[in-house]
Amino acid sequence: MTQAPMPTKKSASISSDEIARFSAQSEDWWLADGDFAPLHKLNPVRLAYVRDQAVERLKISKASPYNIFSGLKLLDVGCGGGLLAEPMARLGAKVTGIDASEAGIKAARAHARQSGLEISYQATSVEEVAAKGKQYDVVTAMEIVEHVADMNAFSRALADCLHPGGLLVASTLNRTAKSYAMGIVAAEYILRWVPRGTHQWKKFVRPSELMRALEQHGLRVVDATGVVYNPLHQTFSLDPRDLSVNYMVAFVKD
Amino acid sequence: MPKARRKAATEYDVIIIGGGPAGLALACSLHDTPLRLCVIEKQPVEQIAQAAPDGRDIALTHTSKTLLAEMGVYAHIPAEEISPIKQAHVVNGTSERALRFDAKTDGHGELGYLVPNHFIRRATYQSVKGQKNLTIITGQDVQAVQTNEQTASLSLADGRTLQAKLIVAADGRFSPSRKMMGIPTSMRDFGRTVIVARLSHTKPHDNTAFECFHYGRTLAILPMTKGQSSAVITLSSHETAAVMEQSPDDFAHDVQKRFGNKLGTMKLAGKRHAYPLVATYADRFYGKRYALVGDAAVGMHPVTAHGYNFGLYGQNVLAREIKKTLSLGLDIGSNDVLSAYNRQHRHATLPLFLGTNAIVGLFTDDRPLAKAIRGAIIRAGNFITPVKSLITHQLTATSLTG
Repeated sequence: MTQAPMPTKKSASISSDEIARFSAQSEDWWLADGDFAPLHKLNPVRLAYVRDQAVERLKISKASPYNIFSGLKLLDVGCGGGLLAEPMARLGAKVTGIDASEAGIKAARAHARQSGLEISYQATSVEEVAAKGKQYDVVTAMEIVEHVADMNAFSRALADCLHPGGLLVASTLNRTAKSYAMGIVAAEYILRWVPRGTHQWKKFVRPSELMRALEQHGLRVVDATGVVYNPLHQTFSLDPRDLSVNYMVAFVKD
Repeated sequence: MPKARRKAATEYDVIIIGGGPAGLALACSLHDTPLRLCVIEKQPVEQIAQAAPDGRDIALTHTSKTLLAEMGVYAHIPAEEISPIKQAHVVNGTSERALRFDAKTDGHGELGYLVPNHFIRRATYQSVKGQKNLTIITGQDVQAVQTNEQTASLSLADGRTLQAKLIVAADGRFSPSRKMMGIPTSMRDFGRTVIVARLSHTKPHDNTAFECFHYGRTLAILPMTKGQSSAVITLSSHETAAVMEQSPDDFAHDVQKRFGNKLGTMKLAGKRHAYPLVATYADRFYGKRYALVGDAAVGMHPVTAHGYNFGLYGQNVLAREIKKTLSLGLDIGSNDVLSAYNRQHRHATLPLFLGTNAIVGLFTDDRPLAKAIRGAIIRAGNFITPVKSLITHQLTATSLTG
């Protein structure tokens, strides 16, 4: 008797080939010079942006800079191996990390244990978290929007997961000729930075599209910045005037 | 017979090898972090708490003074031991021409500040003594250092193993741990020795420092407190023993004569100390979860008096990178942190390190061409203002690069 494969619980926003693609790489998440090297290089810039936006929008005291998120509840959507979740937990936040990939979540859990950090990792979707009525002070959705199948459902769920007054930071890739060259040709093929097939340019999201999608669900744009790469120093930095490739947008729920 | 069970390693965030001025300064700079720090010092605690006079005098730059003040160290240096330098003269041979540096043209009241090394060491210890996040282990030698992607560890002579996210070596210019970590280091043995001694004299020094390049020997006279001066004599190593064995009066008389009696009658006012001159520069200032600070990174020739200052700047850069990383919740022992420190500190030190060695080479060379060139430099220096202001800037170093 043949058995049909067990259907996993699925949400509108999750695309199944995307999950398979990332699950295959889950072991490598934490190798600073492995497949996810660019994410490791990008990480300090993203972390600083999320931290600084949170401090400003949520009026957090800077008195203890190394425990600045003490007591803050944070949801990281598309947490992968926990590259954002762990630092946020170290800064004192109570972090929930969710990812569609079961293997990714397992890798993240194992690493958090190794790091001695308490992080709640769940293989679930943001829609399911929203359906349970869970709300957070900060929600992050980093490099995930471009992998999402149903942008509208995803946006509604992100907005629902925020406390009134809460902050959402989303980062993604813009759909421009430059991002095609940089993000796909350069990153995947020339520099071999990210595994081939990580990005599909057609699914990239313009800032206007991202902003409109979330504004429809009651969020207000408070800041937007580009993230630019300096090939000479091999570092990333913020550039509020150049959103043509990689960018981040901060929203507040009024 | 059952083997003795190996005790679990004691865990820290940062272990600093060496309780000298650079190592303790780093511990001090990290006092306002939640990092668990450990300093390991070979010598017994009394020798760092009550460091004995070693004849070395440190010329603090304005930047160093500011850093020490911020760290709370400066306040622990007895005010009566700090001597301002208001002028500096560089003299070639017996020529009366001098390259003059004046505090007034520099815009500061002083070119720098002279402080005996042991007072800086004591003050630094005073500042970290009782620091809540710091453990100081004294009288222990480091036997082995090992680091990998996840952790760094070392073993002590008494068999203990300590673990940390990062090990920082401040164990001197011949750093044994640097050797264990396999970091190649350029060394230049000048074949010369420096003798330092405190002298009293009958004429006032007017807070002027002199650097005299005599044939075969160089002599620096540094204005210290209590109306005394320090003589710093650089000479060929084979002459050292004879000079060290001179009677106090003969020695003082010899210095007085070589200095052209400018400060009147001189008398020896303390012990003579001799140090062989070897300059060192590590090929890189870091390894995996391992960083070099102080003389372990850059062991300067003392002629420009930058050794201590560089050590202080370096630990400040490293502390700043560590704090920046900590405030992002990231790994303080990662390559990103250490390579950022490496880049900045090399940028700040390499030009002066190479420049100093070249100048020392030129100024201690007795061949006629070298004599002629340095005479020309000294004469040109007084006329060409930009050249001088560059040198003055290097001397006083009011801004940190990087």
